[in-house]
Amino acid sequence: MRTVEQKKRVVVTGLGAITSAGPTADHLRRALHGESTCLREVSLFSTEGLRVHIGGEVERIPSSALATTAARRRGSRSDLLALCAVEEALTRSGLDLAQTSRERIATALGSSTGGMLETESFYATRLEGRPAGRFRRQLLSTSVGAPTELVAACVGALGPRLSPSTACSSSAIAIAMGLLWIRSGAADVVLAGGTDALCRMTFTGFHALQALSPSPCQPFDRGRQGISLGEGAGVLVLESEEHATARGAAILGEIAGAGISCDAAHPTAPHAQSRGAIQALSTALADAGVEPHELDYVNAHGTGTPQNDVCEATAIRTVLGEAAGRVPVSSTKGLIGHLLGAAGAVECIVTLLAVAEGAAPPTFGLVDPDSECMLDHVLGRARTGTLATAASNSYGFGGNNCTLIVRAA
Amino acid sequence: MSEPIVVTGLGFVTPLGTGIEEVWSAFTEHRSGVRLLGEDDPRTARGVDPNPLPPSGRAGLVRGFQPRDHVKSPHLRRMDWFSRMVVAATAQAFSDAATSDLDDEARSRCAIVIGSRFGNQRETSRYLERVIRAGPCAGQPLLFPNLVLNAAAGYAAIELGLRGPNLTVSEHEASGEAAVANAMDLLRGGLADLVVVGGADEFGEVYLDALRERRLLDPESVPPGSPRRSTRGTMVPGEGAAALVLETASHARARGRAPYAAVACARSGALPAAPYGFPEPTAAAERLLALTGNGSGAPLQVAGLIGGASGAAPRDAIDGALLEALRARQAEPVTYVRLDRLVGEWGGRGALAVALASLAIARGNLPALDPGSPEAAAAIAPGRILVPGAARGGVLVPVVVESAAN
Repeated sequence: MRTVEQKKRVVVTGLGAITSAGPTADHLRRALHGESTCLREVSLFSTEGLRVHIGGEVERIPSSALATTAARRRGSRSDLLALCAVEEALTRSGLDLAQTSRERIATALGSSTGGMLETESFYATRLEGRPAGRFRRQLLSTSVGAPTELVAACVGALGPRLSPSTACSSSAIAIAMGLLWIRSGAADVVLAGGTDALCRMTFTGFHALQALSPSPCQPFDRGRQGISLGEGAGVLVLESEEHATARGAAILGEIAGAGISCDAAHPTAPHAQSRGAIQALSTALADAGVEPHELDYVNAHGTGTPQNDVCEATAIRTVLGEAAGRVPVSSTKGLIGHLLGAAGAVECIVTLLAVAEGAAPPTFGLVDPDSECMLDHVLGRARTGTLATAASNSYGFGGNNCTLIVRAA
Repeated sequence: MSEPIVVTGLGFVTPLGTGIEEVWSAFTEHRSGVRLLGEDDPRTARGVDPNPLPPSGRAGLVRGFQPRDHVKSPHLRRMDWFSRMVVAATAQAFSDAATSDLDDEARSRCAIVIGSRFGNQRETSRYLERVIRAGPCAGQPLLFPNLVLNAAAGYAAIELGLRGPNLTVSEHEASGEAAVANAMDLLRGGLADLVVVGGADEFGEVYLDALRERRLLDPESVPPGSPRRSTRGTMVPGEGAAALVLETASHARARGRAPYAAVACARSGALPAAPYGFPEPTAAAERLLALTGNGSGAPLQVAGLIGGASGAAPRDAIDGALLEALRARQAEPVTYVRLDRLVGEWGGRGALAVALASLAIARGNLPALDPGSPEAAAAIAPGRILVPGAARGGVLVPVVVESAAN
């Protein structure tokens, strides 16, 4: 019999998500059960000459009450997306900042490109010999650490800070580190998640790699052609159970465990035998004290590329064994695109919503599952039932893998 | 009380030189790595640096580094300069920690954490300029994977076969110190048994432009012929990579590896600051010291300070306030080292400071390097050395290194 080490419980008391589905997590929740994709023609920059023109672009970023004048003037699009998600998460948590020790509030926001969109505008003005204006002023705020610093400064959070940048697993890792900080007693509250704006670099880069799908991506489908990019931010308010209970907060769910690994095999391609993904999922389950057969849902990374989907399906089947045939699996990327550094956090929010509502959302665009990706896919419409425990997978360039285990409240 | 974390390996690719002995002798002899790049510099030889350097004046530039001497991976030819420095420094540190006996299973419990502010700047510039000039179709598939900040850490994992957590973190000027703090979190949280932690940044256009825009550059560091020659700054930009191997004392003991030093504290906190601004210096000094006390008990006494002064007045003032606070509260003299005079300013430089502090502890010698300090001539056997990470947005990450025998 396995002995499960007693660990401090880490609960979620607030969440916020801004995506192409809309500026709140509620917009995202409705879209998950809707019938149309949120991917549309990208307007932030020119896609002329490319064979792909769609992405999950956020139509409007509402002005955040948290944003200071400097933040509004110099914040990058990624910064402003993050502030929007943080404001929603804090409001939903009911956390009274005036009654909370600021030194016990930590901030961990992941991003893969930070203010790259603004860096690109700076280069464009410079190459065209035009005055760089506000883009020049923004240069020091374009690093991937800028959203964390801006959010913490606007909220007044004075606890530990971290800005992980591990490509598409960045925000999942930020949540994993938040879990670690609360368990270790380094913080009582952690604003954890991530943000990424669409930019020319990632759009043209994935296009050059022939990894972009011309139509909304179809994870795990036999006819899948690659990924669809998106943008947005997702933020969770994590608290120790004691802290949340003491202030009478409504608990939305629990982050029960995390597993982080590296393939150490190839700069971009997943390990052929899914070694790292298997390690991340099995480590996360062990960390949470959950047996594979106890999982009720897996929110897959599910990018829609031929190789990634096969490797992820292999990892899930390997770790779950026989249970893989009856654990519903779905991906949100056909709906809102791949949010890169923000994907892990937004998908963790989708997973939390799924266990809270007892409804595993379907994989938008999946019609004809690939025999090499055989799993219990959620097709067409949500699968309802009791979902007590779920996993959310995130993988990224550099061979990075992170799995989070989520429990219902 | 948690188990001590010790430093068991070191690696350097810096303006002071490459490898422990080259760097240590330049450091103790105050031989600066700040220089002008000459036309016949080995740096420009084929196979060393894949990208041309931007026009510049004086800078802390890496010298004498031959990537092929350190990197075995076939991916070397595709690596950018930033990745080459990171992979070489981490490989040196891993080898220095006598890790050849770690099997595949043990390597699945070994992590990598790299701190960097901007990462691969020059290939990013090359890529963007091409896309902007020639249009969206001009994206280069071979270049793109190198542009994510964590590409270097990924290459290092491949080189060393390390399958544990692989993180890249960015906290502006305190990126190196933040990486060390994160590595401590991974070890204390049981996510890894051993962490190769490093800090790195390359000398590139985005950073130069940002400094030029703010008129922070030292006049000698402004590129010749630049239209913005006027400056009031004293900042000299730089580049480099440094890496350390951290593990628990019992893990090191079980492997029979004697440590250089122990990390007594590495903890992140913050103070209110304007977005993108530094915190007020006196309050920053007090908070940095309070963080060394881990929230309970008095701040640690320190004998040495390898500061983060960079030539940016608000950051320099934090070192000044810290020295004043230390001298006011402890009888023990404090030796101060200004590293930017030797290697220039770069975001991951804090890891170099922590690595040099570990060497100084092991070798019983921290050479003072601050012409304005009354102890300038004194080189003392240090007790504890503080590396005070402080960055824009108010982030503070003090790292304290002490003898492993403490």
